Amino acid sequence: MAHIHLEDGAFSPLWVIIWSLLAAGAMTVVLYTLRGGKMSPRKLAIAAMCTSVGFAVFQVSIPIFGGIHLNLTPLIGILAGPALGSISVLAINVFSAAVGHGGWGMIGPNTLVNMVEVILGYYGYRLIRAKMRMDRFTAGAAAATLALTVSALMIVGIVVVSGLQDSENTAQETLRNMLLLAGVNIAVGVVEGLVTGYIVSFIGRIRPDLLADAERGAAKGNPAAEARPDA
Amino acid sequence: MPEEMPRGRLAIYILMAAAAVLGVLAVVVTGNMSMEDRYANATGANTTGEEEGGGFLGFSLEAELVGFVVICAVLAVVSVLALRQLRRKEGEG
Repeated sequence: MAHIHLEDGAFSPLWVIIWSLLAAGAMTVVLYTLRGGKMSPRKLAIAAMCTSVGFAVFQVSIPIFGGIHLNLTPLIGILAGPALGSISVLAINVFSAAVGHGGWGMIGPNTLVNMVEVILGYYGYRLIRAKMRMDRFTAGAAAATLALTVSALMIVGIVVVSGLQDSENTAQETLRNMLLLAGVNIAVGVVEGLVTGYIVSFIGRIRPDLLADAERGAAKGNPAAEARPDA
Repeated sequence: MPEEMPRGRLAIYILMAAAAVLGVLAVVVTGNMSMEDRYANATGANTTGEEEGGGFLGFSLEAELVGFVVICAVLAVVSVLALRQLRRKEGEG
């Protein structure tokens, strides 16, 4: 997952407040969409498990490219949906800050970045699976890669716009370096995309009901999906 | 005769491969280092680094161990309770 790996104090208090208010606003919209609607126990159980797995996976550094980590945010979006998925990533960011992985002041910007991953993961999967009629692996891999590519570029924007308090770089130097970093994040996004594709196609084979929400309309008028619902 | 891959799917895989190549080039330019070091280098920020637990086969924990275990345990309990609630509701239905 894309995540701003900076400590508290990297952004000025003003920017911490701005990003935190934006994240709070986005979370208010999410809670508003959930109001009054009966949340199914199934969705809640999926969201709880996604949060648990997402948190655990995110803390593990994987020895690729010198050390990366996945947290499967687009997968959380596909399984839990955009609203519950957004709440799930907020919880993961708060818990991560609590164990020293990411600063408390970074919860706002990181939640915004992760919400974009969740929302694009969900709607990207729906679009590719239902409208473009792709198989589950391709739809999951493409949606996750797209979501993580956009979020990697979003991080560049957030860091460059905010500026860093203790940086010795000029804004142009930071932009150039952050674009290179975004390139690395995009490569990690492809790895996470492949992992997401495999997990989605595995879940589709053993528990296709867990993907029912994200696949509404996928089989309708899709000869491949009608003939082989496990595809 | 092997089945022909639909053009849309082929385009998606080509785009993903292009993104991967771009990323590998970025890794080659910047060198092998942890994500935290990449951020510190890219932004020119001074960093003390995040706490890192012991490693196994190159995998390591980027969190304070006790806190990680406690939060994982709490999340596991919440997940089990949510699952039990789901089973009970399905049983009623």
